[in-house]
Amino acid sequence: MKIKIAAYNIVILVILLVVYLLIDSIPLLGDQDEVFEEITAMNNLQAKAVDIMVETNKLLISLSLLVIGVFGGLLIRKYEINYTNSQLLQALLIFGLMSSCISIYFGYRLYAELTYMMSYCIYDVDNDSIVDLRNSQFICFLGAIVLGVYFLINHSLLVQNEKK
Amino acid sequence: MRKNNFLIPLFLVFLKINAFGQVFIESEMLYEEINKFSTVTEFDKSIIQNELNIETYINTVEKWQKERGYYFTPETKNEIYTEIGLSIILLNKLSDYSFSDSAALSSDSFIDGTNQLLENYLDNIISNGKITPLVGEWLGTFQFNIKSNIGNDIAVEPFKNVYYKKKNERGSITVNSDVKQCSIFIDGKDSELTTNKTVSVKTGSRTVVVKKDGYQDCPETVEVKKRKTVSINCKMKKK
Repeated sequence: MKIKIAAYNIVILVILLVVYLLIDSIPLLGDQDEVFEEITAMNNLQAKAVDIMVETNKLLISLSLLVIGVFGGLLIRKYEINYTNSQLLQALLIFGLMSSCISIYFGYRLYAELTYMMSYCIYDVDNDSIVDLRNSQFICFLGAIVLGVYFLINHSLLVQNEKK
Repeated sequence: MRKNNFLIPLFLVFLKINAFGQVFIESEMLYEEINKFSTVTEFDKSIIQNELNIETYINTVEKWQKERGYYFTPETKNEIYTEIGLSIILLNKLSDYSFSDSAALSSDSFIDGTNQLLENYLDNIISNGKITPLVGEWLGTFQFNIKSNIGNDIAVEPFKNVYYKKKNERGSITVNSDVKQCSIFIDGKDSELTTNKTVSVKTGSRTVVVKKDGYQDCPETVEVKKRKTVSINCKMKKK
């Protein structure tokens, strides 16, 4: 039996490997040999900073879920138009979905790091692990949005062509 | 078929991701090394061939320990553990002797003259971060030392390399000094913190040195345990 492998599957493999390397390169707070000062309680400003971070995280996770819903819906519906070349659009949706999922994963890791930080009475929100996770979460979400916009542009172009 | 193909790379990569504390053992490498042991049962081999969870791994290792007579301390379980050591097999006897780094370093007179060599060998491995096979002169010296003490034909082999993801546990040290604003150095690194504070460090043995210009250094070694606080009180002496 011949198994055909679409070109974007190879791209997905490469992207996943890059993501794996990226995830692997972010140091866990617990892996670090760094010495932290132990605190008994956070002051108001520190508590506020953690609150803001958690709120942003929640917002990004919610938006990523929304993106997954929308992209998933589009992918399943297959846009009800018979495109002559729809593989690009499919690929865009799949990459967008992946990007959103990875963003949620980074959000989860961020929660885990914050919990670890709190459980050991440490306050260090500027730590590499936390900053990297925060940035990665946002960049992955942004990536999904950019892919979504690119999808919409291509979609509308194809719809116009169909009408003509 | 074609539409589901993208799941294959996804599955492959997720198999490799170990971000959830999953235990990963270099199965093939370990299996090859394990084959060198005559006393490892078929049951052990079948376990080693698969990816193990921490509990299974520890239970297996504990079983080996009982068979072989060396031990792991409870603390060892919480570290990334690279099991390194030498398997010393006495060819003229039915039994074999082997010892790991912990057993070798803690036994004072197992084989006279060999412990120091082994200690140096293990130090070298730890400082280089990789296992150096025993070859040439090194191996010869080992064999000579063991032969001269035991008097049998022997085989010496560096043995298995196993590791698993560590549990990231921390404890704390309260560092006090009678002089204010002394710098705290932990394991030779400046913590950028000053005395009369509690610092969070990884579990295990830690060397704390309190320093201040014009005063003698005050070194202390403490054993830090998970979620426990140990205190150090340094009395600084002027130079």
